Amino acid sequence: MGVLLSEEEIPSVLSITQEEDKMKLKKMLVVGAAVFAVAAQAQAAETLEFWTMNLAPKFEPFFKERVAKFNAANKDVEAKWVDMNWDQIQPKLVAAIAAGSPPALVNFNVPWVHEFAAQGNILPVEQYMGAAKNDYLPAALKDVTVKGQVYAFPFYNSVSIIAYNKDIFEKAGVKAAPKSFDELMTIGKQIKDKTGVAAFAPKLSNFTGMFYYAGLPMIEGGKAVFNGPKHVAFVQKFADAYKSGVIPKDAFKIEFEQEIALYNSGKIAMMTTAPQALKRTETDAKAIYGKTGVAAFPVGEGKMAFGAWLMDFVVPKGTKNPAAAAKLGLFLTNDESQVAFSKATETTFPSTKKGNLDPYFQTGANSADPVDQARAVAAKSMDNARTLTIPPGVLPDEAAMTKKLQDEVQNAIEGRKPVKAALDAAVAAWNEKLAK
Amino acid sequence: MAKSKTITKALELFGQYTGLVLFAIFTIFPFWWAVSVGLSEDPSNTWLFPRSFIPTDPGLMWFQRVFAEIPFMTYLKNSTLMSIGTIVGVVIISVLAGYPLARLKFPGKNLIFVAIIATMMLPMEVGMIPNFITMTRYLGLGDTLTGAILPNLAGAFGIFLMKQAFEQIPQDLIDAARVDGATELQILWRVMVPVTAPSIAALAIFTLVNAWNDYVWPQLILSTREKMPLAVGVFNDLTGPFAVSTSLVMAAVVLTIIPVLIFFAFTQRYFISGLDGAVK
Amino acid sequence: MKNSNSYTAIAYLFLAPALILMGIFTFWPVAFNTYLAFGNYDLGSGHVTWNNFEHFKYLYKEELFHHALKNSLLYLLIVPVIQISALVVAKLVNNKLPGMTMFRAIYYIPVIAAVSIAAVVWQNVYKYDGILTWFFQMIHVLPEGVDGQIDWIGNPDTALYMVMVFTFWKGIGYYMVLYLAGLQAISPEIEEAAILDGANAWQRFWKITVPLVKPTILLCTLLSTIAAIKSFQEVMVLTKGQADTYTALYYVIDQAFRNYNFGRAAAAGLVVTFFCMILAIIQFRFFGDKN
Repeated sequence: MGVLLSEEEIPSVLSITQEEDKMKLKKMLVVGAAVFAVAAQAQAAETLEFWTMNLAPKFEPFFKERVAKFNAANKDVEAKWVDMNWDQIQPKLVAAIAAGSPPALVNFNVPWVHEFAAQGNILPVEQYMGAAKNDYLPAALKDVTVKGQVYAFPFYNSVSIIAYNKDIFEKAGVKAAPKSFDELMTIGKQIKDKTGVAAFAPKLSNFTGMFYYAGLPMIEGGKAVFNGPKHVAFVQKFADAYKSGVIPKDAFKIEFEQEIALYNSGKIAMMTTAPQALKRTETDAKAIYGKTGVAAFPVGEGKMAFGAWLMDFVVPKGTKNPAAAAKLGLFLTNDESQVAFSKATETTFPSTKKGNLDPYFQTGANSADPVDQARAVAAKSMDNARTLTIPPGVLPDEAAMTKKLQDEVQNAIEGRKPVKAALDAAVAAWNEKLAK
Repeated sequence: MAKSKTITKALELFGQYTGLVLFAIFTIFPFWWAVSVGLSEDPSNTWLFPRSFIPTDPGLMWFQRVFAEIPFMTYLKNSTLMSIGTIVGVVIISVLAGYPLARLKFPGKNLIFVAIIATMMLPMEVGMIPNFITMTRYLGLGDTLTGAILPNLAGAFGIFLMKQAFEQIPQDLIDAARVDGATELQILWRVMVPVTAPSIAALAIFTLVNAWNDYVWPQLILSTREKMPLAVGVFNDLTGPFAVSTSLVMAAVVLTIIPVLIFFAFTQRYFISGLDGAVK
Repeated sequence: MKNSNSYTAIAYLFLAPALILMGIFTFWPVAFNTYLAFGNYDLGSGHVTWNNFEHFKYLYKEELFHHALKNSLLYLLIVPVIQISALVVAKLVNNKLPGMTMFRAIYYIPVIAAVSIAAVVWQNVYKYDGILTWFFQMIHVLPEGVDGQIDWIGNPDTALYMVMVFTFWKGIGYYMVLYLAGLQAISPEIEEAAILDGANAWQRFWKITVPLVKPTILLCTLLSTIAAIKSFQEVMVLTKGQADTYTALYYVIDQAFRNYNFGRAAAAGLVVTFFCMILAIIQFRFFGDKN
């Protein structure tokens, strides 16, 4: 620690003052500088702020316990939990990075990891992982690997399951839940024809994920290729399902909340979404919850579980103490933390190998309670759980390109354009942007 | 003759009320639905229209849960503090700035007015990051309520509104006060402000609504949960993948709207025509 | 009487709080954004490098942006509708008849309601089997059953107009309050005199009310025009830009917070502002005082 100001830098006004005054002032400056430096240092080492999304106040006990344990073991730092709504994480982080004061850790989903890594705004964390790297599921690590570097500590994950209304299945004469994607479509047709109820609401608002699920590539050799015969046939299936009413007329507007609302009011036969949706059915529609059966969502041609959505922690660029941040990241995502968190949610899964083997996840396999069943069913799909997203940095104007794809796919499925023509138009628009 | 006039008048009145009631249905039905959902202890009819406009198993269970599960009173206190601070600040600043723009001649007047108006047209969403940097790095007001309201105090809308209101006042009133030897501040306070009470009330209500519902900026600048206003706190705590129930959100929203409605009921009396002292 | 110099000092003294705060929180970000529009911005380091109008050239060729701009201009249709309605409503509730307080409060509820929550209900109004379809089927405007079901905000032919109806619902109470404030300038005697002269309600509205609230009309139409050109929130919560409802400001926000291309977002923002300015000038010419 040095003197903040040297003799020469002390303003010239001082030269006319008495010598002892000068000394006094110098002393004060030194002391002041020392206090300031200590304060600054203490602050830099003191707080490790970490952000999560939509986990307060429900999981406050979990985070309080974890933070206390971490702080007790690491006297030199102090972890501080901050929770926020998911739509605020990105703007808030962007602002914090621009202001030069980012937090230590941020709860991200996989697409954000790829975006931020491609822009160089988060740090690779592999160097801090050490042997702990082998504790995570390989699929989870792959999700957060960008250009050969691991950029995040995998946290909780979930996959889609099928929750179905047994009454509607019975009325339609459907004996068992679908085992393949094509069966899902045929059963859907049967349900619509026999009962008049729409069968299910696929997540059409992210069609990129659909192509990946079906094992159909989107970009090859720097060119968009999603207008091949297989792609056309795949989209055609949805167009047919739309036309015959197997999927609701407003399928493109249906997301997590809307799908739960539809299922809870008996307007769709199957809910194909993350198990935590069932907790909502349990609260909001007890009657339907009572007649809900659960099955795995069939694995598609892409050999990937459907609807996986990994959450993780990233270390933003410019954070003051990345090593300490990583230490906290490892702690929050170790086996113990992850199992405890999953037990708190009842519907999510650890992204560590050992964590997933915890007997807790299979105890519900034979339970009569749909949430318990869903947990057991989904846990088995975890090995195939990859979050489906376009490889990073491929799309030069992600916002506009995704919009073009979605608009054209919507035109095709809603029957305003032949499928081939719609996909051709989207591919042409993509290639024009990719060529730049 | 007199009779037919009474009938015409009655018919006119009837027509007026019919129109008012129909329009009231149009504006109130979403709020009605939210109240009904909040009051339904059994939420299974939430999404069945028009059934959901009448509560199922009416009760206050969801409202009680709002208070039990989130720090509602803390959020309410923060929202109240922020709103009062914003209203006082906006009214003072807008009245002060509107007066010279409306009634005084000085160099640079038009330029200042045009510059102020022009700021309304820019998408301020992209200005958030520079403001965040100013607030945290240079003013040291990150994570404070002051920081959450400061950028909202001086706005083109309030200045423009007050300028328009001051322009409608007859020059005689000002001249008379000047002859009596009143200073400009006295003219503003004793002559202009009382006469423009309806506009000030309108400004206060708009400011309250904006401050009360402000979401993006407070969320950006505040990180401590105990400092969050209602708009931010309710959304953070009650929505997302682990949300409890739509009913809980609706109950919280109804509770959030009620204080503003009360404020409106108190300020709206200034809009009744024939207010004594106005333009006489 | 004081001389003009002393007024200058007083004027600036009165304006000082507003100008200082606006300088920091409005003019500075605006200036910074204008600067960004002409360069490439690196978030981490904060560096901006001049790029020879690249963003503007890009926007000039970007079909999506043109389309979004067209939608934003189309959105202007809402302005006269909402203004005339708000003035009529204000006139209707501007009296001492019983129940007026309640009506005013009810008309103001949409303004208070958070957009995102209001949207939840409106999505169900517009659903193909939602409240609007139910209503039209009930009064036999639309055929019964599936044939009469219209996906109001999913169909590109109707979606943008339906979003405008939402804007109308959300905004009318706001302008009503402004017009109520403006109506105070009219003394009841003027209207009473007109009634004695035999003028009917229609004539009184156009000959007395409208001219006398002209300053308020200018204020309201200007605000409403700016809001229409900058419409984005209502689109965001109702359609997410699907079914041909993508607007210019939506493009700006997408570029800023989805692509993190703050330079291009700023450039697009300037183009939007340019259109706003032109419309504002026209309105000042039309409604403003001669001076």
